[in-house]
Amino acid sequence: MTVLLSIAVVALVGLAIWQLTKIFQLSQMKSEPTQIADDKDNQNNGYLMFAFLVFIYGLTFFSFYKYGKFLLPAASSEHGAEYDNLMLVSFVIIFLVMAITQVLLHYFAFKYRGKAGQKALYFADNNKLELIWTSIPVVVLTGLILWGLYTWNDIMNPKEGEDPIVIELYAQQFNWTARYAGADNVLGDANVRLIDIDNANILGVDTQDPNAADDIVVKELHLPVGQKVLFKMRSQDVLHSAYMPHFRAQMNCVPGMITEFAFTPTETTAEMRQRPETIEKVKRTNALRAQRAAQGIPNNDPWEFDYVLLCNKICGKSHYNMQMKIVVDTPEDYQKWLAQQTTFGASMEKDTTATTEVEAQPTIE
Amino acid sequence: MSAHAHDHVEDHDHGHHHHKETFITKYIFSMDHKMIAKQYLITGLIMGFIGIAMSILFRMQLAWPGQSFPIFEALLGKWAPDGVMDADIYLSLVTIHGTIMVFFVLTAGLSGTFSNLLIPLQIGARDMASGFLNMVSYWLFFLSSAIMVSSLFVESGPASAGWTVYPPLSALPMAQSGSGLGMTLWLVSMAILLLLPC
Repeated sequence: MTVLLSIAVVALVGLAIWQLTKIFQLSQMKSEPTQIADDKDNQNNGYLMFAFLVFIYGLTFFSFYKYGKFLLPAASSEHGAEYDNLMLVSFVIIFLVMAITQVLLHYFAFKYRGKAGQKALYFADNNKLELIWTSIPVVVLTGLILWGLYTWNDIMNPKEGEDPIVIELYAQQFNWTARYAGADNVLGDANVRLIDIDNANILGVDTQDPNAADDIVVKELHLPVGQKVLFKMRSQDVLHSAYMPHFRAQMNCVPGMITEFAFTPTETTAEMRQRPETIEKVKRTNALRAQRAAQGIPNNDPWEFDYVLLCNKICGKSHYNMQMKIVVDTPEDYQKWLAQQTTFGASMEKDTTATTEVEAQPTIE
Repeated sequence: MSAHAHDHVEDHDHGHHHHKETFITKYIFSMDHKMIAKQYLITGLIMGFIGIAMSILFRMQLAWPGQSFPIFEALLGKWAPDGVMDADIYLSLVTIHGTIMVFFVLTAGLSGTFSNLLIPLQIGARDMASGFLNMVSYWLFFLSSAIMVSSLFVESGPASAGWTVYPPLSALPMAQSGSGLGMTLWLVSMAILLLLPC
């Protein structure tokens, strides 16, 4: 493959040099070389303008058609639908304005191309025209910005009567840990200075805090469908960013402070796997993986769709691989899963007993 | 009277000869905006080649993850054992590539070359307001480029916090090795570069 590419590069460079020489020769053949554009030059430039227009629109529609499938699937969270609408409307407006202005720009460049004897008209100003082209963008942009602002407020501000499940997301180079607030739905205090690796207190949870006893520390995030979840994010070392693309959620994790983001998942992992676009994506990916596996390339086992939590802020050498699996369950499955987990208090007790046993052993001997 | 005039002419000639340009004043420490523009152009092109070469290297590894390329080992040495790029150097290349393209190619190309060459010609001025400062500006740019390129050769590796250089990742050598001497050189280079418009 590399050899093939190198040959292609050399061949293309050769072709480019040959073409340049040819252009140079052609330019030399002119009987009277002149720097002033004549009608023929202007004509050619006019047509080139049109050709460019066809090229950029051709490329745009080709990209929509060919690469549209790589976009994220429709949002799996309540606020995500509104977010997607805002995004879609912004894109449609930008695309239409761009399409119309570019066509006009290129058309007028062609229509009024230089012709012998034709003089340019000096057009001073037109207040009516200026009023129109100022007020339309003002109205449209104000609308978009206000809509965005209200959407943002709606997403970020907790509403009365909501009782979200509180989960802490803890970021460190290069992994995520989650801590559920447990039965009391209140997280125990935590501080980086309380981290005690020997006793498996990796999050620095305060063992003296009564709220901490029922906390549950896990390495795989489970969320119940249809129930609001409030994430409280911390970072141990550098800036990270908790990015859950399918839920349209992202928030920076900053060392020394707690940041928050809340959302309600609307589709379970099982439902998401049944979506036609997911099935198609899995099929496509696994076909590629099978092909690679057949060539003996490792790490190409068949893939199954899962929601993910990614890090979206460069945080060091393994940033690219900093992720955690998210499973959205039915409320029953979620409760079942939660019941199987060990609480922080229990794990500490177990550890203390183990330590005491180890310490006690030599005395017995 | 006539002798006086003659003296004056001689004086003038003498003064004129005094400004005769040597190779150094014409091509190296030039105060002529057109020559300075060319100096920026050449430096910018060289930095452009370096920046693009980096982008080719890390994109090759991105396209074929984990695959061994002998050229990586030849160019990157210990950072690419068996021809597979280390994650640290991958991030460093992305960082320095971004920095070079934004600060050392665009700055050199747009303000350094085009503004220097074209603006005095377009407005009919003889030169920039201060030829001396213009010269100093180019040489600060050159110094800054040289320091940035030299950071590629330090033992702990060049800066690798991404071109946005967010602390604390960029500030703590224990967070990643590129935040040691490599990042210090990156900052020194940037500080000198920022003197340009002053």
